[in-house]
Amino acid sequence: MMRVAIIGNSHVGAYLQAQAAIEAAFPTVELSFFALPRHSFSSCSLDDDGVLSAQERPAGGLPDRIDLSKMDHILMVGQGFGREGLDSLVQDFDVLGLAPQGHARSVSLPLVSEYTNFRVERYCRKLARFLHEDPRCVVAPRPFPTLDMPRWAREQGGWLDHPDAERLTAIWLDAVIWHMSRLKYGLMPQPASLVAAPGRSPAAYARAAALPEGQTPTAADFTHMNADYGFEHFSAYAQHWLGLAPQSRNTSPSKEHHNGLGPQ
Amino acid sequence: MISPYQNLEDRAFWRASVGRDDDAALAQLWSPKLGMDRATPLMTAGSCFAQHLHRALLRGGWAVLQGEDMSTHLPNRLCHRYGYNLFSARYGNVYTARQFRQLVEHALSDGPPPTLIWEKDNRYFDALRPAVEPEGLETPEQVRQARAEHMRALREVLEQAACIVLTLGLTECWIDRETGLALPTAPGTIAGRHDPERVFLHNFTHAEVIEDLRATRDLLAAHGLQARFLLTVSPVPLVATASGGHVGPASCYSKSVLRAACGELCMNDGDFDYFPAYEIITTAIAGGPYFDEHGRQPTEKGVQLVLKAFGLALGDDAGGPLQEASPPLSSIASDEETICEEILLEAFRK
Repeated sequence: MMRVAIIGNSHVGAYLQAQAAIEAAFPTVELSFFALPRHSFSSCSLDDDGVLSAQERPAGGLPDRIDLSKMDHILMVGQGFGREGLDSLVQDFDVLGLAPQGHARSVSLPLVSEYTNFRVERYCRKLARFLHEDPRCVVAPRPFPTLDMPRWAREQGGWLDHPDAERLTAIWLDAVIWHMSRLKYGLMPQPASLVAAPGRSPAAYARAAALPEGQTPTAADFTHMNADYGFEHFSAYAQHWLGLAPQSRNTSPSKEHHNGLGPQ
Repeated sequence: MISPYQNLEDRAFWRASVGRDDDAALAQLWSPKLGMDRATPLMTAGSCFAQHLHRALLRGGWAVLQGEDMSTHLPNRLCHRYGYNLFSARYGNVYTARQFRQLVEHALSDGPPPTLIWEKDNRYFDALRPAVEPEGLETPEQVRQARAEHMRALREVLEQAACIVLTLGLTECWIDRETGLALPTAPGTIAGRHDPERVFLHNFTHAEVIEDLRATRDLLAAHGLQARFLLTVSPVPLVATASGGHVGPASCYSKSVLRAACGELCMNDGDFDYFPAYEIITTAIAGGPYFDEHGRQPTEKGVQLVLKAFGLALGDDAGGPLQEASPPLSSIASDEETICEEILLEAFRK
């Protein structure tokens, strides 16, 4: 068996919900999961034996450690790479040269680029420290919010909602690729097949699209993905990084999950 | 009375007061004539030494006005690289009294601010503050827009300021022939090209400095703004002179003119006061001089003594050891994810 750990933050949920489907499609893969308490790098430590332990009590029922020494591969998902910084800048200022958004103040594009670079570099430094640049680890950025994210949830979407999102996305992604190229981790940008528009994921992959009937979605349900995304993203990872092709499946991992076939 | 010096305070005598940096001695260096306390809204502007003052006053808890504030968005290094939070607005270094006068004129004018634009490698720079966008902007129109925003912000600062702490740095200045605008730096230094047909060097005289400062005060008053001036002279020598002479004497001339102009205004005009930061850094009056090994930049100790003397003279007990700055970087304090614990918990519950 090929043992794969999927670690990260709340975005681990999509893969957890797709676990049964993933293991069915990739029968040689055995998955383990771990989420950082408070989603903070500082909440965990990696000891000399390769055990990643929470330094504080995880929220109810979550595992408090994972032995990474036993893993063949590590997929670290949901990483923000400083996207919040760009969010706050673009939400508060117009950017000279980009479509005006009605803010009283502007900042220049070179400043936006430098700041993005600063945030991404800082994030990558934390990442490097976190798993000691373990070459088994591939890091995946947080998925883009979905295309159907309503206006009331736009604060969660940040600069991805900007008319020039494509240019801003490119600035951010270029910085991520550059700084990650200097680390020993792999980098897995969101696959093109899981991108609907610049900085947007397809609506069908939103948690909001897979909520039980009658449940009202929150903003986070448009920034977090469902089991279908978890499956497709893992499949792309497995093909590119593990050299594995999925065996065919007929049902949606989301449906399987909701029908009680997901991890218990 | 035998002599007019007979009953003077210690501070009137060199031997009794010079060379000491204790609190009692520092407190005597300046007798403020403008009513000020920690709640007085201060505006800082001037040459590079004004950046030290701005920072030191902020650390010391004085009510320093901050227009175009970026401290909640950017780390200090980037703020400063792009000209934010160095002074009370993003005007860059203001070296001459003429520059400050024109800055205030532009800010208080109802029309669009005059703009002088330099080009370098297809990027465009605001010639009146060329260093605030180190990479330049994409189009001249962006430069105009940025300048208009800057002027609005500056006007707000001027409207709030009760005291303008203005540090004069130079008398040598490049002037654009066509517009008459005083430039902070020669074309070709940061951007643009030096063209003797377009710019000329002017070395301001004592009378011109006084006239510019009074005109600035009058302009503020004409707009109903009552800010008074606390003048200082930058102790930082000229980095270079274009006068044709040696930089040393040229520097001494500049500082002497500026110091004399400040002295005259301070003596004769109730809206102007002078704070002896220049003397504290460059002379022995407080145990100095306080220059780094290159003899040009003031040391941190010197800057601290300047602020301490400032506070002590105003009767401030907190003129002691300074606190490290703690900028409000709340929005950039964490790279961690948005907390969505319930989503993860939900996934594990299934």
